[in-house]
Amino acid sequence: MPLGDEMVTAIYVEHADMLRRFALRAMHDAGRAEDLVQEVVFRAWRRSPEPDDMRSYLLASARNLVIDQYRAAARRPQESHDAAIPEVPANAGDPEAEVNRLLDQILVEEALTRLQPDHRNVVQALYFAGLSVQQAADSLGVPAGTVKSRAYYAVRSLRTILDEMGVQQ
Amino acid sequence: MITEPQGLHELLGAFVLGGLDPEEHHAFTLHLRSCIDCQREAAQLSGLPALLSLVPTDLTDPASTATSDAQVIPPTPISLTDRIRREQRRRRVWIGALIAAVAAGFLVLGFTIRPAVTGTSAVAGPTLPTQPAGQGINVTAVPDDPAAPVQAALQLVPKQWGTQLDLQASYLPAGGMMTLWIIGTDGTSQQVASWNATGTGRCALSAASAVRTNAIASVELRTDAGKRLATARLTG
Repeated sequence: MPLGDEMVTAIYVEHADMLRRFALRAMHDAGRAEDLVQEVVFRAWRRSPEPDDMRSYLLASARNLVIDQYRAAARRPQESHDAAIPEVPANAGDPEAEVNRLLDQILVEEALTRLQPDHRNVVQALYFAGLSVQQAADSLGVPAGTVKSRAYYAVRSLRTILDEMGVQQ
Repeated sequence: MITEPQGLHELLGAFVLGGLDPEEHHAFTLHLRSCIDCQREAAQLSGLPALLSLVPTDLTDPASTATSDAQVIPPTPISLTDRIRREQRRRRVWIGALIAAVAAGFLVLGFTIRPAVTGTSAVAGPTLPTQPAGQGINVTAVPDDPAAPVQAALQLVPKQWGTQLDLQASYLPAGGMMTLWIIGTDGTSQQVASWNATGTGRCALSAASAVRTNAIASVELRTDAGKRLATARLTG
């Protein structure tokens, strides 16, 4: 198999799902989302970058493509019913801000998956479920002190992961 | 329950994520006022709640956001591999054309372009054999038999290894075999090509000879019996 195919397959296997999640939220259309994913992977193959974090690179590339399409759509206001134009996002006043929000959303979700399970469970319990330390301890079956110390290491780890992915505060 | 003093630092985690009871929250807030390290760290982590708030709560199940290890590897879409093939083909054609252009002397890399017919050997650039690769010399062969008006055009291209001869001819004999000969400036002759007659009376071919272009006096088209069909003389 030529080198190009191997690289594309590797990128696709590892990153297509996440790219597709972002694309679906940005494009609201499965067909256009798939087109976007393929365009991103194709461009990455053509440029052969070696970034520290391929996933962040691909997402940044996807973000730029989405913004290009939003801007193109904004220039054709009368054709908003045309199926070929991506649906202008709810925050139509600032499409770029909306795309950045979607991107950060995907990146934070990605960062959470990179946490160790113990850390992720504590974040889930304390932040997303809104449990108290004691309730989290009961839920996770560990002492309260363990919940506190895991929470401490979880937030430090999460911050490090986000920094590595290039997510600003 | 108030945590032991040495554990106060660790409260930063639950402080950021939420979940401290009122007593601990108060204790940690007091601690923050006097602990530079915790202040610095709290500042670094202060953006986390806002970032975490971006995540829709129904998607915080790791199983739905992460690709599980047991997932079947999705095949790369045909359309994507097709696109890549097309691009690879396009690149090969472009690079192939580039290589051919260099080989044919149309792109001269680092050499001085001089017509080899002047016979000069002065070359600017890296040390090389006596002649630089350069532009070809075009000559027209004159028929030797007025009754057989062969038309033959030759391009002699100087190469590092010698001379490439590109022949295009028409009104050749309809049958038999033909040959191409180089007559050197020293009088010696050597055959550089042979080919069979085609039904159209045309031929287009390339021949190679180690003889330097400026050592070629003339080029002859002959039949395989040795009869001269046309001669091209180089100037000089």
